[in-house]
Amino acid sequence: MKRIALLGSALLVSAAVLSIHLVTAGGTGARSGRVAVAQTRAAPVGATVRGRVLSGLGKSPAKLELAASAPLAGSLVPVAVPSPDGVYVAYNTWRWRRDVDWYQSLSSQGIQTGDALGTPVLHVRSLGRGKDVALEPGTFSAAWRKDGALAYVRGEQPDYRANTPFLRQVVVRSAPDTAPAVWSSSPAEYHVLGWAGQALIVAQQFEGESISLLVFDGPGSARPLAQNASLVAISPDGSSALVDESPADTDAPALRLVSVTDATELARAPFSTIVDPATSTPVAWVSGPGDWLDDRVVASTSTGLVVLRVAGGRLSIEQVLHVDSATRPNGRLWEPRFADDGRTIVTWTDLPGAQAAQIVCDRFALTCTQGAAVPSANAPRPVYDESGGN
Amino acid sequence: MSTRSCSVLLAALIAMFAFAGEASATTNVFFAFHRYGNTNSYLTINLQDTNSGAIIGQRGFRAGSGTSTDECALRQGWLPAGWYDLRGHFDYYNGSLIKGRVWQLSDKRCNGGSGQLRSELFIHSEETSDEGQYCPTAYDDPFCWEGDSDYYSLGCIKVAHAQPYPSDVGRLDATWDSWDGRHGYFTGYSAVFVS
Repeated sequence: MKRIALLGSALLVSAAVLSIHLVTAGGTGARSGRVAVAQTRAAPVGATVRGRVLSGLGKSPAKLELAASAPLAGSLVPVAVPSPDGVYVAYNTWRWRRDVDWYQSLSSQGIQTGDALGTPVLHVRSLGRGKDVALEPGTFSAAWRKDGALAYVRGEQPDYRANTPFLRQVVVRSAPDTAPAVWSSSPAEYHVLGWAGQALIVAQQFEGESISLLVFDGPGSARPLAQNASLVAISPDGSSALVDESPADTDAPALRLVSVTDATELARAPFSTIVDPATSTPVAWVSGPGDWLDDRVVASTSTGLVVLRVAGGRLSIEQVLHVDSATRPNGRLWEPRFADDGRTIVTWTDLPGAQAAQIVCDRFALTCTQGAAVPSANAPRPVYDESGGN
Repeated sequence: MSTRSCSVLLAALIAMFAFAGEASATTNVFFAFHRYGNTNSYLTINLQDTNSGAIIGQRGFRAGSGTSTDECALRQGWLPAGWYDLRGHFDYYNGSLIKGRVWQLSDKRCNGGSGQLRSELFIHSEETSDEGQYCPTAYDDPFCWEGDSDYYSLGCIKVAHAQPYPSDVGRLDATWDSWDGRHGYFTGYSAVFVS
């Protein structure tokens, strides 16, 4: 009888452990809280590009022809984008025409409005053979369609000129080695964000850095997706997109889930409902680019990170993480990405002294590690494509 | 009227016109934007004696910039630190999203030159192209100053168009007209400092 009782107790304990494990693996065990950040000297996690070093996509790190850099797009788009078949990576490069001390005024350095300062050039590198091809001068901001088509923007002129909007067209190549077709009907300040199936989601920037989102269904066929909003992520099936509003544009900013097909709003999560667990106050902003894995989305907030759940056309807040460093000036967390387990979040941040570091968080344990500080030019930026759908 | 009296009167008139019109050869007008928070920073317009470097006139206004304090965040971060040129000043600017009394700033790469290029930024308010107010809804209208949340911007510096009139943007513009007076496109060399 005693043996039976012991066996029963053991089974109960095993069942309890198993159930805890299952709950945690399912993510329902995720809780909001302040995360502790420890320093580490470990190598960066995941597919990253740091200046000229591309790692995490092959057996060993590769050295790119030029450093990955996209000052016109910043962190609105990935600096390097892998093709869906894993054969290529498209990456942004930039050549300055002259040295500029950006802390000083341009005029004090003899730079006048209209002077050519630099040139963006998109490169496509074959991961297997190492062959590196530069596309047209004036190109940047790429996304791959599932069938291997490559979308990007191409400047009307190749050079960025001081104090002059860099106007560009949206172009698409059916394959990297085919001729580009122009999809936009007139030049503007476009950023290619990602494919949603056969539709291409593009941001258009206006004066004062306002952004609206468009959908291109083909050459000359653009329609609005969301006004005064920026992209957080595209659903894995390409049917919807999560976009963020700015507190500068509305007194009730929210995350909005919109249909790519007809731009209707499917769900919304006001920022006022995303409450920081350390301060018990709503976050001031939520912003992309983030990551959408299965039915979860991670995005950056004014005090750290938020994980949302998208299920049945509903948007719910699963977890709010407070990261002290994210609240400092220039301390926000950039481009958060889920690792395959859905439990690990990989992001990066700027540090004082023009430096940057990768941050890797275990969102169940509420712990993060911060990697070694490197110069900002070599910030460990993730290699990814926001595109979804077939 | 003695010669001496005439000279004094002439000097007074010259001084008056110098301050009523464009900045004279011996004065310089510049803005200083001190970043404390997205909605509670401070903007000063300064009249400087170029010979001595002394600030001989200054007016200050509450101002805002961005919705976050990360100067590298496009559409979000406050204005990056450093010196800017002025690209022009307009009383009746009629852009799609920015209207009325504006001062346009030069481009700036953030974080001392390591990150995002910020561009097409202004000092402005929320008003119509004819310096009025358009408040058709009970919500946040883009050309209507409803309150303190209007200090938020996507990156520009914003000053209030709020009663009592003249509003801050009105007083800033009047001060500019009095001390400098240029309108249209021009280059104001190193005319804005952000700290």
